[in-house]
Amino acid sequence: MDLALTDEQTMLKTAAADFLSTELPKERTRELFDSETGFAPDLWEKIGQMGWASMLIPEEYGGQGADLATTGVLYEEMGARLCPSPHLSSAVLSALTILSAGSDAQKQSLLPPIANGDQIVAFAFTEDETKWGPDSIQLDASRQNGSYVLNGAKSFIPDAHVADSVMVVARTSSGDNGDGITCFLVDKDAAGLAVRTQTGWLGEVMNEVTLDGVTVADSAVIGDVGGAWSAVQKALDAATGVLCAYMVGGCREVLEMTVEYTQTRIQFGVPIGNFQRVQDHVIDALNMEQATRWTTYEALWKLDEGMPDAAVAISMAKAVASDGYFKACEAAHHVHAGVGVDMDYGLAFYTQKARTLQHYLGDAVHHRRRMAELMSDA
Amino acid sequence: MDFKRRYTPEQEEFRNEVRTWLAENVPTDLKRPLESSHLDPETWDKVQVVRRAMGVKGWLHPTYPTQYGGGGLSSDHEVILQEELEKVDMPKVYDNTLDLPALMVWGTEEQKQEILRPRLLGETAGWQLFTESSAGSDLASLQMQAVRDGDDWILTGQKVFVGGDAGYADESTKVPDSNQMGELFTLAVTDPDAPRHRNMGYFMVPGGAEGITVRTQDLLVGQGKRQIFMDGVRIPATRLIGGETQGWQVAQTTLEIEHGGGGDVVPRSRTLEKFLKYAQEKGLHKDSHNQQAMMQAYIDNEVLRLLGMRNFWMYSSGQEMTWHGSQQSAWRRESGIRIGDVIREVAGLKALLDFEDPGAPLAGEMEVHQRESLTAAHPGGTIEVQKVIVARRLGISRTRERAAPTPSTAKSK
Repeated sequence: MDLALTDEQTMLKTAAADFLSTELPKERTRELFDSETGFAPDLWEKIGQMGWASMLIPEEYGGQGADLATTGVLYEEMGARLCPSPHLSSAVLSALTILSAGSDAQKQSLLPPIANGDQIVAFAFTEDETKWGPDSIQLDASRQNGSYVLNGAKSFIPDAHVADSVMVVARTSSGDNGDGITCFLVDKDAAGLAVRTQTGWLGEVMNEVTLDGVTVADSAVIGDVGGAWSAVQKALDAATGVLCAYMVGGCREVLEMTVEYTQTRIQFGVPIGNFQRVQDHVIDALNMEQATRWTTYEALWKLDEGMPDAAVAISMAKAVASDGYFKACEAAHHVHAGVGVDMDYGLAFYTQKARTLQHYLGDAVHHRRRMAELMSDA
Repeated sequence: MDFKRRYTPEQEEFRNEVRTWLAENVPTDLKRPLESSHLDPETWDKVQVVRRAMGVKGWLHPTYPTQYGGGGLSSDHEVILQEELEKVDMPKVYDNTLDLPALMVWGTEEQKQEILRPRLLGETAGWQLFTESSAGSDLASLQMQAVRDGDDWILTGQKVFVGGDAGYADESTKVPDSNQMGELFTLAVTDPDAPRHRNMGYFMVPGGAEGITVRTQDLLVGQGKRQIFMDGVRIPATRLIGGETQGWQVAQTTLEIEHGGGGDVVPRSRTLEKFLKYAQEKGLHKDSHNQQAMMQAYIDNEVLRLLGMRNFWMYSSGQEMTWHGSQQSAWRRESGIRIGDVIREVAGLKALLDFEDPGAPLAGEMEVHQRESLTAAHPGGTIEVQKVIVARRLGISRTRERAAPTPSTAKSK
C-alpha cells in the first residue's frame, strides 16, 4: 500500500498546475463563465498539444494509454482551476464508448482525431427526465429504407454547441436492463439535428439537442444494435471517476481559499479563524474534501485494477462528491459571507460548478440507489 | 497510488505461521460477550494465556523493538497479525496501550526495560488515568498532586472515567483486581506554582500500590468506568516518565495516538454489516428512503475506513501528521452516532430491544450499538476538542501547534 502519487503522476500534476495557472488566471475564468459558449478554442488547442486529450486512448490509436488514476490526477488540477473543456465529453465518454464498442475500422478512423483534439464529440445521454439509468433512454431510432431514423430530444448536453459530432445514445427496441440501446455517432451538421443552448445558472454550457427525423447510415452505429449498454456503462463509470477527481480539485481549491480567508479577514480586531464557529465551517469543508478525495482515488484505482466491486466504488465516490463539493462551497460561503458572492472574488464560480456537477453523470440519490442494487446482486 | 496491501513471499509465510499458531493456541470455546465489558473471569484468564504467549513471540506489539519485548517487525507484519486476529474472533481483554508510545519516546533505558518491557510482553495491562471530575476537556487544569519525598513521589487525588471495558469485576464490589489493573499511567501536579502545561509529571503507578481505592461509575454502557482515589500513594522516582514538569509534553505523545494519529488497519463495524444484512433479509431496503439511509450509513463507514487507511499509511511511512489524526477521530465519533440514527430509523423500535427480549433482532446487538455509539463519542477528547485540534493544525486558530513526536516520527528523525 502506498497512497503517494507515482513520480510520473507528480510530474503530470506539476506540469498541469503550471500550465493552468498561466492559461487560466481568475479574470479569464470569469470571462469564460460569462461568455456564451464557455469555450476557449486557443486553450483547447493547447490542451491538445499537451497531449491531454489522448490520455485514455491506447497508443495504437494515437493515444497514451494512461490509467484512470493518472487521468484523475490531471482532472484534479483541471477542477482546481475550473478548466472548461470538452475533454470529458469527447476524450472520455465518447472515446471510451468507441473504444469498447466500435469496430476496428471505427477505432482506427475515429480515435486518433479525438486523441489530438482535432475532433470534438459531444455525448448525448440524458433526456427530459435527466436520469442516468438505461430505462431513461427513450430517443427513438427506427429502421427505415436501409437507414436509421432518429427522433427525440436530449437535454443538458455539454459541449454539443462546439462539437463536430454527437454520440447519441438511443433506443432501437424496448427492453430491460439496457437491452435495446444503440449508440449512433451523428454529424453535427446532419439534417434535422438542432442544438439550442440552455440558459441559467449552470456551471457548464449545456444544450438541448433535438433530432427530428435525422437519417443516418449503418456506419454511424457504434457497437451492436440494441447491445451498446455495457459499453456505455463502462464509459460512464470511467467518466464518473475522473469527474469526481475534477470535483476533488474544486473542493481543494475552495478549502484553500477559505483557510486563507480566515487568516486575512480581520473582525473584532482578530483574524476570523480565531472563532470556533468559523473553524467549524472550515472543518466541514475539509471533511468533504477528504471524503471526496479518498473515495475517488480508491475507486479509480479499483477500476484500473479491474476489481469486482469497482462499480460500487465509483458510485460511492460520486455519491460523496455530488454532495461533498456543493457542501464544501456552502461552508466556504458561510466563512466568506458577502465577499463570497462578489463575482470578482471567484468563490461563486465554484459553487455554480458544484451545483451542476452534483447532477451531471448522476446525483447522490442515483448513485446510492445504484450501489444498493449492485450490492444486493453481488 | 496503490490501495492494496501487498506482501512479499516471506510475509505470506509469516501469515501462515500466524494462522497456524492461532489455530493451535486460541481455545475454541471462548465466549465473545455481546457487550465488550461482560467478560467472565474464565474467558478473561484464557485470553490472557493466549496474550502472554503472543507477547513472548513479540506479536502483541510487533513494531516495537525486540530488546523491549516488541517483535522488531514491519508495519506490514502488524497488519497481517491484525487481519488474522480479526478472523479468530477472540474477545478482547482490557489493556489501554496509549502509554506505550510515550514510554518509547520519552522513557529512559531503565524505564523501557522495567516498565515498557512487561507491558509489551502482555504481562501487565495499561489503564489511563487522565480525566478528573473538574478536568475533562480542560485536562491541563487537573489537580492530582505529586509531592517529592526523598527517592519517592507521593500521589494524592482523584481520577474519573478510568478504563473499564473488556475486563471483569468482582460480582459484589464491581471492582477489578490489581492483577487486571497493571500499570496506571497518570498525570499529577508536581509544581503547583508553575504555569499551566509546565506544572505536571507523567507517572506510571503500579495498580496494586498501597493507598488506591477503586469505585465503579454506573454508566450507559457495560460495567461502567472507574473512579480511582489515590491517598498518599508512594511510588519510586524511577516511575516518573520524562522530566518532573514535562508531563504535559509526554502526554501529548499519548494523546497524539489516542486522537487517531496511528491510523486504523482493519477498521470495520460488525454491527453495521449485520444490520445491513438484517434489513435486506427483512426487505426493509425496498423502501426507497430506507435504501438511501442504509447506503449513506455504509458510505459514512467507508469514509472512516479510508481516513484510517490514510493515517496508517502516513504513520507507518514516518510522515508527520498534522490535523489528520483528530480529523479521523472526529469523523469516527460523529459517524458512529449517525449510523446509530440510521439503524433506529430503519429498524424502528426493534433497534431498542435488548438481548433478554426474545424478539430482539441480532440478539440485541443493535440495542448495544445505540448505547455504545453515543458513549464512544466523548472519551479521549470530545468531538469539539478534536475539532479544536484540527483547526490549530490547519493553522487557522489563534493557537498553533504541531504534532507531538510518536515512535514513528521520532524514529525517522
